[in-house]
Amino acid sequence: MGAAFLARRALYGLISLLILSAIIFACTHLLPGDAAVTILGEGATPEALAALRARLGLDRSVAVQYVDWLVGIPRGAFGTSTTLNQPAGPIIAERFSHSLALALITTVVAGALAIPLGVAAAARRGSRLDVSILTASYVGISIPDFVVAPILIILLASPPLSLLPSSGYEPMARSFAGWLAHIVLPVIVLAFLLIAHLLRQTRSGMLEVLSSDYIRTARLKGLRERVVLWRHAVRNGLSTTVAVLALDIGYLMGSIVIVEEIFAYPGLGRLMVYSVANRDIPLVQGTALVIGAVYVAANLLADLAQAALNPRVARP
Amino acid sequence: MSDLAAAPAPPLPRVNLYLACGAALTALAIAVALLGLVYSPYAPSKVDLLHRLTPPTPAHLLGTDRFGRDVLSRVLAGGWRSVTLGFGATALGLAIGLPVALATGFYRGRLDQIVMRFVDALLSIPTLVFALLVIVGLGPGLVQAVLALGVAASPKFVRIVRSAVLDAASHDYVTAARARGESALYIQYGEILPSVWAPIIVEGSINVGFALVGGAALSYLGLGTQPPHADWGVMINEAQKYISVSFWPLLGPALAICASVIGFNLLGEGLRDRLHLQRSFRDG
Amino acid sequence: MTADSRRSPGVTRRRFTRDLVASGAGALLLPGVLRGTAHGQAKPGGQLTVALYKDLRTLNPIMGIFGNEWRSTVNLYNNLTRLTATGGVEGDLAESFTAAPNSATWTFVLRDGVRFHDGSALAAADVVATIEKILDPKTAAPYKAELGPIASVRAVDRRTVRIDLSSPYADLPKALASAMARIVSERGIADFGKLDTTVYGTGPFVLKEFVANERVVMERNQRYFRSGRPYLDRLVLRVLPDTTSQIAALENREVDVIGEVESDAFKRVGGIKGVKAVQVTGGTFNNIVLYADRPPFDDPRVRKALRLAMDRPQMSDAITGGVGTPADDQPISPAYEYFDKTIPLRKPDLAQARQLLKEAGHGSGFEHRLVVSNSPASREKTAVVVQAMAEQIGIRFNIELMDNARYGSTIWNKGVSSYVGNYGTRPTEDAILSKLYSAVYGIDEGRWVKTEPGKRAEQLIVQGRQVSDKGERRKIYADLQRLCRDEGPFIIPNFFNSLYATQSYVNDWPTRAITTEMRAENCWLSPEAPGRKA
Repeated sequence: MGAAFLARRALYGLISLLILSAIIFACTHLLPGDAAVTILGEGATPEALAALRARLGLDRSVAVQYVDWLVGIPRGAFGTSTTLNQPAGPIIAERFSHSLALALITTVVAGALAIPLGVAAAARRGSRLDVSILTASYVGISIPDFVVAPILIILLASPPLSLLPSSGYEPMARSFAGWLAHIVLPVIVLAFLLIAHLLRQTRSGMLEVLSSDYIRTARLKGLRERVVLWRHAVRNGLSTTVAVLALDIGYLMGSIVIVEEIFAYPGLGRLMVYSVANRDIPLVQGTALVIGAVYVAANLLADLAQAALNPRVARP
Repeated sequence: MSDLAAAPAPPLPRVNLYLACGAALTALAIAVALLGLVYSPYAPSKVDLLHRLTPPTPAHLLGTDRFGRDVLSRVLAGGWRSVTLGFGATALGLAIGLPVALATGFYRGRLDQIVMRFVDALLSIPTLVFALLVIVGLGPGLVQAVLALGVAASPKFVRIVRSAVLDAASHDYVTAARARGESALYIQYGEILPSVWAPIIVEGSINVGFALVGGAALSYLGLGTQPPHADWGVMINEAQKYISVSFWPLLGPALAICASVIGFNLLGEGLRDRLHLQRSFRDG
Repeated sequence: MTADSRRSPGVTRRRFTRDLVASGAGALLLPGVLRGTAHGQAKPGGQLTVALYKDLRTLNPIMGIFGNEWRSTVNLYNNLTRLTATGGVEGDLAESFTAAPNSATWTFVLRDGVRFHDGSALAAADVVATIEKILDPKTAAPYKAELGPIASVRAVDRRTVRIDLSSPYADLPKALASAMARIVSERGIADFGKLDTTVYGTGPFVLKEFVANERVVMERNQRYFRSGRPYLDRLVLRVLPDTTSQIAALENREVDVIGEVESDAFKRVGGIKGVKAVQVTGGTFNNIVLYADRPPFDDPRVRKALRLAMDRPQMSDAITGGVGTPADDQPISPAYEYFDKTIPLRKPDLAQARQLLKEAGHGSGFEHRLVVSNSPASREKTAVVVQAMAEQIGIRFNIELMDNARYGSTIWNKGVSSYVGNYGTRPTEDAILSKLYSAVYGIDEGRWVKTEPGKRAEQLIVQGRQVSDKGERRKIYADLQRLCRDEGPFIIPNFFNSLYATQSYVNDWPTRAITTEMRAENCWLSPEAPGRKA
């Protein structure tokens, strides 16, 4: 696992991102309507549209616009948002930091709960513990986040309890306690969903491994059950879990639009939906690129972790 | 030898319980959907502006929604849309994702790398945005929604199944099969696929739930089921706004989705256990 | 609330008013009543946080199209004129204004000593630069047409501006009070590209921070030309897109005002202890656009049949959750000065409707496509309710939901399909009537102008703009309301009331029919307001 391997994966990552940006650019352009229409609303007379398109550079050919945007990337310039008329880079960067914080914390919380619970459920398959853990996890998957969120707000963030702020975001620099308070409810809502997902895959993977020859051999050798479980089974049983973790981080970056709306949390999910709905192409491209980069990085880490856990997989 | 090495095994009846409950709930969901195709106490779109947001009464067993429409009728009538979305999107996602996962995990090398770049690219597009692109381009409708959610789910299946395939391909029985000179297709579908059923079933059954609710997310963007038609996700989405006024319009579809998702997941769990048992007897 | 003892002696009257308010009665009276009691005790200081619903993309007053953008710029800029609480117009930056007898030339005299936030003095050149920029076709200003038929604008001297119109236009002062006519300094106009994020205004508040679609933070302009105002130290606008969290924020006192309450939440908000919920008759509406130049709705009998199927009080109740006003298919609501209250609300008559359809050759009804944009959400509600009503007589609307950008570029005003339009309250009757029904000054949305009644409507509209005698205008607009109601190409089932919610310690919050007239310069906080720092 050397520098060559990492360099190659980095290159592959870049290729993925390039493909991604081309797909998104093409798709968004094929959609009816453009930023000029969404900027002008009812004022969209043919003359106004023509004038605005000229001003925004939307009347150039698609290829020219794409290349123009692309060459700015190495310089760190992600173009100018057409609907907000501000540089796209800083907007995306700020949202990115918020989403990253949320994604990492949620993943850690969910992982810390789901993996031990999944292992415990698998070790005691069929017992009351297993059944109750499993049932609780099903509830997590079947209630949509936009139902859980308002319920939590009504219970925890409204009188009489009012334990937490109901929405918004506070920068860590201003107040760590405030930042934490604002992030708790979104994390709970999201973790609900993630725990269910992770727990089931963990349990499933563990069940597979626990009945394999490898484990039987370890038991035959007379090792204590706990050692068998944690030292041997877990290492091999977690490969799907790791893949799921990587996917979930990516999911948390880009798909939690509704939670971001309900909690007015300024993340990338909302930004992406806003920019597609308003055909703000520089924002769409930039956001997609950032989310894509996170997926690429997360998947790379997942592949590395899987190879570390199960060396037989690590062929080139 | 297997007797000596037998791990402490829990009593088998539990497995049947999962399978039984799961099958029962899933059958119930499908039955409700089928029933809704032919019967409902009221026309599901019948508006009754004088009786809006009422709690359950003998006339309206699950209450009425914000336009006075009977919730029970809408749960019945919308059932087939939700069930089709859930199953259809998952089936499509698997139909695309499984062959790709098997091929890349088996062949590795350049094919694997190229395909995975595309998969990573598609994976990075948030499902909602993907669906938005598809539906805004193709227009709204049930088929388009199934297409959008199904294709959007496939890269995820590829990723997860592929890692299980990588694991399985490193096992002895695959090496043995290669040594025997079996064809690549046989090894993929005959040897590897049976041993990766577990994550497929688990992920698939979870995805059914996501797709059921996915319809609601689409309607949030105004692209899902067209009004005044119903599906469970759309009903939840509409009802959620009135939660502080009345939670009854929420209860009906929420119960329907919960029951279906739990049922299908239980079924998946039971199937996984049963297949796993069968296979360990075979390998044993 | 134990704060009662610290309140002013007017508390009994105020409590009485609040109860009136929460039950929705006495709506139009309110602004005057609240002001009379409170003004004497106004205390400076404090921060006020307002929760707003959605989009806030730009602070450029000329290009902004969303209500929240106007709510921001009204506090950062001034206009030449502004609307009064009773629907009239008075000078804002203009000390006085006069019209030549034919109302084709207007002269505005600016106040002396007004300074922009950067310290430069207000001069006629700034007004000229702003208005010329709005009128310039290259600017693509979305609401240029509603400014009126301005031919040229000149600075006569440092404090006097002369506007020449190409045809008489009695409503020019009110038009200049609208959101897109805020006065930007000449330097700002030269720096037009930066106006989305930078403010070159004279307004009561100075921009401190702006994050698009999230928040606007403003601080008191110490140099504001109305001395003593604003009372508030800071004004913060926060975007909270979800109703549940808006309500929770109000209950927790994380916000002090909800700038525009969702109709479904209004009753709940009114029940919160310590919160005043106010509704004012509004003029916002959704209209079903039927085309009068093609079948099936070119036949006036078919249009009449559809009208007769609408039970408007029921529809208004269902669409607005009880906080709306039934409407009669024409856009002038009781919020407008020339609203004609003698016109009775049309009652449904299904039998006659079916009869008319049969006569027109549609005895078995017909299907009709209706496109509905997904934003704002009230469009879908209107469509579903209209669909249900129309079904009773056999007209089956097939609703097609659509992404807003696609709707804007392929459906709106393209004459392709019927759709649900959405219009806010305008400062003048003429603004909304010409927009909808005139081909010369507006978009003739229903393609009505070539029909006999449509031609007559166009004539009346032109007349109404040019005449300045109030009595004459009242008659003209009364005729127009009847004409549009009886023959026009739209179904308009209701008007949406303007809904506000404020904490009890907030005083003199502007509650108007036009919710975007959210000028906070007179607002002040009672001592029990929580001290807060953004």
